[in-house]
Amino acid sequence: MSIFCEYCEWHCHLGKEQEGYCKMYREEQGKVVEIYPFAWNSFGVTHIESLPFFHAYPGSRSLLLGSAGCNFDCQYCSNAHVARVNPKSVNLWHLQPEKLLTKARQSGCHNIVFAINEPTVSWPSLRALGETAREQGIEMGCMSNGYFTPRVANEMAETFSFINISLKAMNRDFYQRYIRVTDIAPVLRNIAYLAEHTHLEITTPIIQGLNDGDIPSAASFIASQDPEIPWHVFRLLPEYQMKDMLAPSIEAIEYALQEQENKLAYIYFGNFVGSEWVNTVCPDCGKVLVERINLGGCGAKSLACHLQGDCCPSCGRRLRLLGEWTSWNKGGAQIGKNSSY
Amino acid sequence: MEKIAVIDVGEWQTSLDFRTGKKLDPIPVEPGVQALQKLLRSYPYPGDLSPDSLAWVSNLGLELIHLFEPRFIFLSYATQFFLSTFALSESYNWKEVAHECIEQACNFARVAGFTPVIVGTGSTRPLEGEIDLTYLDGLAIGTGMGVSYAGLYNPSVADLKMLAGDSRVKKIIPQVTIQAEWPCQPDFARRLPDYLLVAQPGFQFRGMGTMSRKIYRISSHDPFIPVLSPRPLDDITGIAPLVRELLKTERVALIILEGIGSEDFPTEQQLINNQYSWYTYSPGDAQYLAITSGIHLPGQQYPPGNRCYDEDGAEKPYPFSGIYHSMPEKVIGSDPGLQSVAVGSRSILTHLASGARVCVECFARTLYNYGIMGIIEER
Repeated sequence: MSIFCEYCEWHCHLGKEQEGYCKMYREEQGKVVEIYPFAWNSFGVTHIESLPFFHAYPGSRSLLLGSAGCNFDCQYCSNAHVARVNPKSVNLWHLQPEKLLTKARQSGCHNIVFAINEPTVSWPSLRALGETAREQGIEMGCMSNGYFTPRVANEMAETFSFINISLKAMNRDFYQRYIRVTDIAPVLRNIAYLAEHTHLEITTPIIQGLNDGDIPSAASFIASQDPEIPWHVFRLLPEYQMKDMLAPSIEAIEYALQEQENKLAYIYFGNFVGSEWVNTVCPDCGKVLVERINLGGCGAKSLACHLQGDCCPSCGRRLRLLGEWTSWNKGGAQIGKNSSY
Repeated sequence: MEKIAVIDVGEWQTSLDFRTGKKLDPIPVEPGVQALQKLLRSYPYPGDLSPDSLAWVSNLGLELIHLFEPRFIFLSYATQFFLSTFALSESYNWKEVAHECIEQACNFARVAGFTPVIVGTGSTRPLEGEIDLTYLDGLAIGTGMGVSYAGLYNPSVADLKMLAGDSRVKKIIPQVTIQAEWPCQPDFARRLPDYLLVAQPGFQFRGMGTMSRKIYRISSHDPFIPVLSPRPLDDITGIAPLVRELLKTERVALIILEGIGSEDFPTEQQLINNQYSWYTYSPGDAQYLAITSGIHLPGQQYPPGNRCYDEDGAEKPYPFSGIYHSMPEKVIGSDPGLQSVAVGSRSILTHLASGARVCVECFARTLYNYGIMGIIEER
């Protein structure tokens, strides 16, 4: 017997001995089953802003989780050592949801974020973890490439309180040549869906000469969904098959982003140490609301918060924010507290 | 004296307050800062796994001497250690890399005209296996490259019984034992885990914070490490006093060669003790600080297996110094009146361990190359 996988837009044909594109699923008794259920590779404490999420529980402590495998083949992948190798070769350890949540509490984490690789390739495990986490009052978020089916989009919105989708370009040709998938349409469709159903942030990695020309159209697309969606532009340092490419010009990207500031309320630019684009600034009066520092990596670390609740203390404008400033040693989640949704 | 950090990420630079990480406005125009800015622009870091990074250290060292005329220079060469840890052995020739590293260090000292004290931090051996601590009831912390020591918090009786029966676990030491037996500095004592776990040679622990990258080799935890020195030495903590003595009459280069053991060192080497009690140093902050401060592990600030992330809130100073809240004291480069410079490919350990008044280091994190950081002390 063989079946088609329903998790991502590859719709892989699975059999007992036939794995999908991501090598994380096969068929068993007529059902899609995970080959490595509740198997994880990354497991550590991090700042929520480092992932990056700048508008969900700023300041909070996250348990970072990752597994192995991916349904994309990004030629510049930064995490190819877990995402672009056969998951069989990755050191995976097994923890059931209850135990994982205990680890989150023991380490003082406020929330759990799945990042590093694509959540769709470990979806049943994450769905189960999400259900248990919700019962125990710990919120979950994820980073995703957005190439999942409408069913998974619906389940993601139920499972995760906050999601960051990587919008890698605005044209099909880029997705075909550098991501090795057939179409961008599912990604755009899922962004539109998630923008309405959960807290959404978007990240766009920039590779000079390949997708920097898409900055205006990406900003316009995001604005057409919701101009309050935080947009993280990422100075990509190409790895994997493109590691000989030059890093993008910061000044050129800054110039391109300045042109988009009338479209979106929150534009960030990171992955270079010392970036001045990682603070949250009031879109109306320009007051710095959350001060951050980039220490290398795509996100940042919070240094100070000047918000009054979710409002600018200077002009009173309400900020797009899930939850509230959550100090590093606070721990203990309270779902939905003070959400501006 | 305040320190200024200059970050160079390729074609873009910024100058920051080293303690707060905040941008300096106006941009400093002191001649020393300008010289450092120019220097960083000219020497992009080739990367942790690039053999070219060996010459990068030497060349920058010579430039720093030319620009700042120091009496003391600290250099650390780490490329060979990164290669042995993270690269498949078929992808490089260890003998050639180790030889090149030693050549770079010796040539540097010769060309610079400094008296060298060269330390190999010990050999590596193939990783034989991992001890999974994630399943324990307690919380196990294991960070760094090759986790031979892990911290265990709130373990259950079952945890301790299971670990005691695991032949790959060499020791399980309660916090109270360490505090009773070692002269612990207060910060060190308060940061001790409930239990410290020691792996058998060749094994590493996997716990909270362990790197996701696959490692191929791990420190051998050599009880003795090689040193080239103009005078006799017998212990790792004897290096700093020796360097200070030499500095009274000559210019000195203290050079660290990571992951290099006795087998790869020149024959005129001395072997010195690399242990404190049952603890054996391996490449990392404790070993660096033992070398540059002359202070053994219990006198330092951070024990292995500590929950360093608990202290990483928004108010933490020195954002570019990892877990450190203050700069280590009593390291040679911070001695009063001593003009000191440093360069290294082991990122933050370079400035932490050297204490140098001018420092250049790679800004690489888990092998991602974000550029270079220069640090300079200015009024």
